[in-house]
This record gives sequence, C-alpha cells and structure tokens, in this order.
Amino acid sequence: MREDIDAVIEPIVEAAKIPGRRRRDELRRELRSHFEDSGLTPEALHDAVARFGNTARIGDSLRKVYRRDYMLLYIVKVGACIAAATIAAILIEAIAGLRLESDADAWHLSRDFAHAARFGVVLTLALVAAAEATRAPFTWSRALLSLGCYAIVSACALSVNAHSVGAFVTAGILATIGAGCARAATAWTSRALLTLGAFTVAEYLLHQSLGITFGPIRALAASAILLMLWASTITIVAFSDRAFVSAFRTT
Amino acid sequence: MLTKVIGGMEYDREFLTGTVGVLILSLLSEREMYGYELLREAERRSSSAFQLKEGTLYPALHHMERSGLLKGRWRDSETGRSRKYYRLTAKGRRQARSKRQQWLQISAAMRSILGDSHA
Repeated sequence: MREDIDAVIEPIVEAAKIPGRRRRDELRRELRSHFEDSGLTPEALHDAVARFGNTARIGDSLRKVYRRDYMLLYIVKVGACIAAATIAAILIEAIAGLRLESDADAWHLSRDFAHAARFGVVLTLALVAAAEATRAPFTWSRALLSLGCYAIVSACALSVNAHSVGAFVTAGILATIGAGCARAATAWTSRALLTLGAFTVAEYLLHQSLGITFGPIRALAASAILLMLWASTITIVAFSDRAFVSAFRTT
Repeated sequence: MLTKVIGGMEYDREFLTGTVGVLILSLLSEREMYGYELLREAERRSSSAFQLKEGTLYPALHHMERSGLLKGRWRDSETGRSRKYYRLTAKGRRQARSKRQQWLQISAAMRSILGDSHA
C-alpha cells in the first residue's frame, strides 16, 4: 500500500524541485497524510490516485511556486563558483609570477603579476559564462542571459577603464575555444592537449595581429598557465554543479 | 473552448480561474483546516458543485503559504493522526475580506445585468 502511495508522491516531489530536504519531506508527509485520509483500502486508494490528477502537472505547478527559491540558489551557486574560481586564478597567477631574486636570495612577484591576475579574473568570468551558456540541456534563454551578464560586466569595466576592452575580447575568444575543445574531446588528457594547442595558436595570432612581439615558445608558456586556470575553473564549475544537483536530490 | 463538468453542468475553465483562491480563503476564514478537509468541505458546502482537485489544491495552498496569506503547522488530530493545518495570517484575513467584497459586488452586478430570472 505504501509503495502505491509513494509511486504517486515521489514523481511530484521530484518534479517540484523544492530546495531543502526538510521542505521536500514536509510535502511528502502532507501528501501521504492526504492519502491516508482518503482511506487505506485498495479501492479508496485507487479512487484517491485517480482524483489526484496528472502527477507531472502537479509537480510542475509546485515547481512554479518554489521557482524563486530555485533561482536564488542558482544565483548563489554561480556567485560562489565565480568567487572560488577567481581566487584560484589569482593563486595560479601568483605562483606563475613568483621570481627568485638572485642577489637578495628572496622571492618576489614579477612586474607583470597585476596585469596577469587581472586577465586571469576576466578569463575566469568568461569561462563561467561560457560554461553556463553551453550547459546541457541547452536553452537559448540561459545562453543569452549568460552572455548578456558577461557583456554587462564588460561594459561596466570599460566605463572604468577603456583599455580593458582587449582583455574582455581575448578572454571571450579563449573561453569560446575552451568550451569548443571541451565538447570536441571527452578524455581529460586529449581535452587538455587540444585546449593547450588551441590556446597557444590563439595567443600567438592575437599578439601578432596587435603587432606585439610574442614568439611561439612564449605563447606556449603563457597558454600553459591559462590551461591551469581553465582546468581549475571547469573543475570548480563541475563541483558547484554537483553540489547544486544534490540540493534537489529526492532520494 | 475548454470546459469543465462540475455537478453535471459544463463550466468555462476561464470562468473558474481565480475561484480556488477565494474558496480557500473563505473556508479558512472560519477555522483552520487541512488539505483533505478543505476538499470535503468545499464539496459539502456547494452540494458537490465545486469538486476541488487535489492537484489544484496543494499547489494553491503552497503558493498562498509562500505569499504569506496562510500559515501551516503540523498538529495531531483526536485520532492521533498528524496533519498539516492551514490558517489565515493577518494578510490572508485582509485578502479574504477584500476578495469576498469583490465577489459580492461582481455577483450583484451580474445579477442585475442577467436579471432575476437568469440568476
């Protein structure tokens, strides 16, 4: 008998996508008490289930009730993801920018660190935007919202510093390449090698087009750092996705 | 056009939209009730003209609770069975009064348009 009731309740609870185990359990308890009130004989239960209506539609109606909470949690997830990825990017750039001063025998950050860290943060934003835009199942609304947010952040940065346009455009190109490589290869090694190669070519060509001296070896070295940044960002995105999904797991 | 059969009569669905909230607010303005009790009470009071569907009632109750119109609490009945009882909040009571007033005015206006013979 309990299995029959659960067969009706569980699809509703799952479709409702209610954040928080306590509230989901409360909905289960409420619906279960409803069926118990309807009568526990097989006939009464059959009638109650028939009266209940389409479980998918009920779940969808409940999902709309709790949509604001869902959206809020999603924004928190993306925000936390950006914060963690940004910290990781700054740390990676700091490690890459460490230099040993031979005469003083002391470590210090290279002069390029501030510039590299700023670009690392912009690339992180672009990577998170690209990950959200291309997330499966693909939806145009989410893709446009992600790209729109990136465009707004770019516009805000431009209003503060007009020279930052290059960083946002370059980060956008690299993030698109990164997202493309992630789709093209499934194995981690081939994905990383493909991305490294694509980043190196892009870095070399971008600098060439701007008339900046940037040899292939330097492009490869810069791309290796960017690859670490890319790897840390997509790992953080994957981790935050898992945490988000587990917040709605019904079993 | 979508229709719904209630108490042997066909009603336009659009016509019924918005009645669920008024029905819940009106019933709860008398005393606190749980979901199943609300269904049975609506059916009894309307001589089965209104047969609220569970699939309509529970999302509506949750929506009204989230909107601050209702407050739910778990309570044991005399039989020892635990149920979620809903009662109106101060905001819900104001809403119930306002909705009741609107319905009385609309129904009075409709009666005067349709004439007593059609009322």
